[in-house]
Amino acid sequence: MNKTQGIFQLVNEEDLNTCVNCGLCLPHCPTYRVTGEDIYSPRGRINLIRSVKHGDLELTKEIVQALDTCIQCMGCEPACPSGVQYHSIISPVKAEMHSGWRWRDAPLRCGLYVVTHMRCLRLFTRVISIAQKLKIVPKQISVPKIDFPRPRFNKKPQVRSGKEVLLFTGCVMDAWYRNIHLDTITLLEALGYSVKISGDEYGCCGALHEHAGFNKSALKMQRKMQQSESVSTIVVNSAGCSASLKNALAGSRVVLDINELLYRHITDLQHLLVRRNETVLIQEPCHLRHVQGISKEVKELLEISFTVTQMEDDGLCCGAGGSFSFSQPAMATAVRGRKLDEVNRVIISVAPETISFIASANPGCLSFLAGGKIDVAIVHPVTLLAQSLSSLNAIGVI
Amino acid sequence: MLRQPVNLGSVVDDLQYQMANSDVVNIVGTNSTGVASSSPDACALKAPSGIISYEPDELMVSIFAGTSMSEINFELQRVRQRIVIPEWGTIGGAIATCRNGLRESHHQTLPNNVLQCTVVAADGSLFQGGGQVVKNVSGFDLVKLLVGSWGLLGLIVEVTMRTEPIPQASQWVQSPEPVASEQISNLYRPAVVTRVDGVMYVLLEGHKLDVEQEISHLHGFALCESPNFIHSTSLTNLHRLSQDLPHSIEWDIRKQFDPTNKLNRHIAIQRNLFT
Amino acid sequence: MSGVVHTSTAELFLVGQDASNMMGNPAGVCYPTSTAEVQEAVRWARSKGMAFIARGAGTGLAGGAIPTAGSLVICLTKMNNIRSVDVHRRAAWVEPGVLNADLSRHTSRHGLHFAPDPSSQQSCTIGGNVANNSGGPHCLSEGVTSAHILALEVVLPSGEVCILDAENSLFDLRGAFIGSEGMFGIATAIEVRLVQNPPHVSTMVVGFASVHEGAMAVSAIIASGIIPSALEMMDAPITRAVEEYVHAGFPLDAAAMLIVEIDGLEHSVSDGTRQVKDIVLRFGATSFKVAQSAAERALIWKGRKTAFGAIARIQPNYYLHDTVVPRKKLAEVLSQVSAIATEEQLQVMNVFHAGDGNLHPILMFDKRVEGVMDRVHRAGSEIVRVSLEAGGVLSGEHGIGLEKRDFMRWMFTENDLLFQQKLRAAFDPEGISNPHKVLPRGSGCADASSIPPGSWM
Repeated sequence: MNKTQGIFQLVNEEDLNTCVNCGLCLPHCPTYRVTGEDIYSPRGRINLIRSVKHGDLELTKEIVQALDTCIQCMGCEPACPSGVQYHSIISPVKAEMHSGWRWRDAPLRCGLYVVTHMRCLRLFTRVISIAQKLKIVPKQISVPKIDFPRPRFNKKPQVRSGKEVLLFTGCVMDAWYRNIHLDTITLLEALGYSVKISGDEYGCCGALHEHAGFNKSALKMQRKMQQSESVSTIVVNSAGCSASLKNALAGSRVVLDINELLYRHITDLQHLLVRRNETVLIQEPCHLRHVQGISKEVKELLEISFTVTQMEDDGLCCGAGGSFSFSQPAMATAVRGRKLDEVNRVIISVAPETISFIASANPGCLSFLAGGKIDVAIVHPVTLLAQSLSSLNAIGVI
Repeated sequence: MLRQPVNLGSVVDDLQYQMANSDVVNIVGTNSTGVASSSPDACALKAPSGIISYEPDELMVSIFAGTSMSEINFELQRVRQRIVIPEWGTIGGAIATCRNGLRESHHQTLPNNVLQCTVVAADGSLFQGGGQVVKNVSGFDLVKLLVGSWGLLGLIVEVTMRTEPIPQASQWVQSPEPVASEQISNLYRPAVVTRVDGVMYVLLEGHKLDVEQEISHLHGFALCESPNFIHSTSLTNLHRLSQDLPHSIEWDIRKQFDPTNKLNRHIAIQRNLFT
Repeated sequence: MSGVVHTSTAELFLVGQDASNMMGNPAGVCYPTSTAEVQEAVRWARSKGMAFIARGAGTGLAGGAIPTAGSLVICLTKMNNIRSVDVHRRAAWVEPGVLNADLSRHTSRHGLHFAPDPSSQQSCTIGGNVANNSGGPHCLSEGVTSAHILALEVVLPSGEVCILDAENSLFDLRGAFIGSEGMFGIATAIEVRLVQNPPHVSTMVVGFASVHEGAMAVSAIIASGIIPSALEMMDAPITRAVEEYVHAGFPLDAAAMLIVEIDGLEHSVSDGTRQVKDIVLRFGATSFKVAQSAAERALIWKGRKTAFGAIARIQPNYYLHDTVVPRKKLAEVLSQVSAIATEEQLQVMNVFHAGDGNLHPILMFDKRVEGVMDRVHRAGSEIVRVSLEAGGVLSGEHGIGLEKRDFMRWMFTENDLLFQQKLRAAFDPEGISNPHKVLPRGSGCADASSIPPGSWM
């Protein structure tokens, strides 16, 4: 068997056959949208993978580039009338391409090593926060403004008796966005939950690794989670992680995205939240909208307190894509540029002075978007909801 | 499967004879444009007349091009249908000069309602463009080319037109005073909007109650009869045609379709198309 | 040439294909961003003796965008700016790479939209719509693309740039250019007409116990003097396949389903809806439902417009046909189509623009089955034959492209084709703009020159 014939054998032939080349996915692909080139489209990528697998094309550097630049936002999947399971085509391909050592992956592997090891991550975070003060952070690393020292969790849960849930704190989310965790706890406790913190025991869930195609590392982390003793319901406030954990822990644990859980209590929240005279623009993370199918939930939750507007781009990706903005900065920046254009269009056309917040339920999107030029605060929807609780005294009483 | 040609033998013979025996061959309907008279020595050619077939249920009528518009609309009105072209001259003349009237709505404009044309070419051969269905993208659009071609590309002998139901209500209104443009832009797809000698005319068509409602939203307008100004276009249209636009393509098309340069030559000269 | 011509195998492989089952072998592809760059590309191709072909999103189904061997693909997707919108005149200048749905989305804030709405409208480009004179469900009342294009800026095969405009030239070169499938030059800017969004819309879903009754109802609706804005039919197998993933509430027990939409002012819509209801009930409708909200309407249209994709859930491959027949022949031709499919042992589904008589029979198959392609092609020609025998035409909106060029003689005489060729020759005397399409092979009409693969490299 020669080398070409051995490539991409893990991709299921039936999955490839479902694509009929109609092209209805094209406008839903962020990389096609910014390039207009077939080679950067889902239809093109599927066609290339099929041809390489069948030995009709050699795996040239152009094809590798075409596949490397797929953000895996999965925007093409809901758009496909034929129901092509794009993720089951691209994931094994990414994994295969990253199974061996490639020098160009070195910085990415390095970065992923850091997030997996909490001590390294904390050290890195500290260095970055100092660098931020000195204004010497390289552009390629899109890190939000980090509070130092990091806010602390309250050691004693406010609610003891309620239904127990485990808040998955994760890696980057915990290091850079602990405030969002605190807001999540506030909300959950207001709803009567008793919240446990996953903390360093779990660390990273491996979503970033899996997304980048480093499946071996991802598996290691997922196994660790499966084996650990824990509460049966896990709540996750990072869309990328909730998507990945749902998959990895299917059958053994109930994994809920925070928006999903809050939406179950929408009637309670209608009583708990106050009306605010501000407008929120929703930015939908791909792993929430396209992968988990959670879209109207965020909108309806925020509508309790705010006037909500939405973008008219069918949830096109912002370019963050886990570690994508780090490994493919040029493409990511172009994709973000398109997103920012849409944001600015909405800001100008819909409500000139009144958009106060942009809400996004994923840390990757939060930090990557904040790296672009927007004058509006970009926050997690949980933060907005927590700040809208009618009376903070109510916590623990309900 | 190929269409059965109607017996057009005499028209073809006429054309061939005249093309062989004179320098200029005019195509004339009722000469309502007045263009034909500009070359008194020329021989004149006429298309046959009469309705070939009419299928009201299909909203489609096939007609010899020499048929007068009044005859056609008389026939159509019996089943409450119409072709929206100013009611004078022949259908062939209307098509050759693209006599559109003042309709705003694109689906009522002439080019979009000609479905098929049969033409006797300058060499005496017959050719056909389009088809007898309402939607057709088979091959290049010879029909669009022929509409408004002023007889320079051949003698249109037969056409198939799309007809439309006559709307329940139809009402002209006019305003001698200047009208705020929002008034007009707030109307939903009026049939005609035009200004003649400082007077704004609007034609509203559709369901009786809708037309009444639209009129009630207009201020400073009075109901009026169908105005008589439509009869004044064609010649000015011809002169309005610009001189320098894709000259060579037009010239090439004419050369391809009539290498003898005899058909309606006076129009070509007037247009400065051929020197 | 200052613009870059890409020649990587992967890129050429991809731009050699569109949404049809055919494949071409181009020598290069470029992505101009301005009229000047298109002009430069055309001149460069000329200077190398190459043919060139314009490409949009590659969603065509008739192979019109399949490049001939050794040609230069000029991909216009990067020219996607809406240059200006004139709300007062209800017109806009756009570049050819603007997506159909994006244009309507962009102008919706002014209460306006671009009327042609082919089922691929979310992906297909305005340039492609111009090349194919595209239709869509709503062209029943609104007219096809040609009725909505005011002017074109065109790079001619000679490399010159000109404006084609209905009002200022002797012949309607604009009208002749639209639907010329890229064989007359490349449109680099397009002035489109925008139409007012209707204030009232009524979308009805009607079930019938047989295709025949449904087809009779279609004729009756049109004959009654109502012109619906759209009048679509889906047969039972496709309705079931679509309903499975769209959940639009389509009648699953019906043998045929009509989507009837009426729009306009209040009374014409309410009266029209009542009239349609009377007619369909008279023709034996088994169910009748009017969409109650915009969301429900959107779902119905999503089901209709993505219908053909649902086929992949039944069979891996399909061949989507496009012919037009007189409305009164619909029932007859549909039963012939079904007989043809049975004869060739193929599954067939129908989802089409019934109001126009525009059929879209879809033959389903698995191309890995030996000999199946022969059967598919035989069935395809038979469908074309029965449609023409019924007084119909070859194509209503997909165009001729490569797929149907050899059927052109079934519809036109040699002299008809000669005059079509004359028109083409006036625009492109050398036959270098998307050669070998539309006109049949083996006659004085077809493009004589053939560029050997790779000769320029």
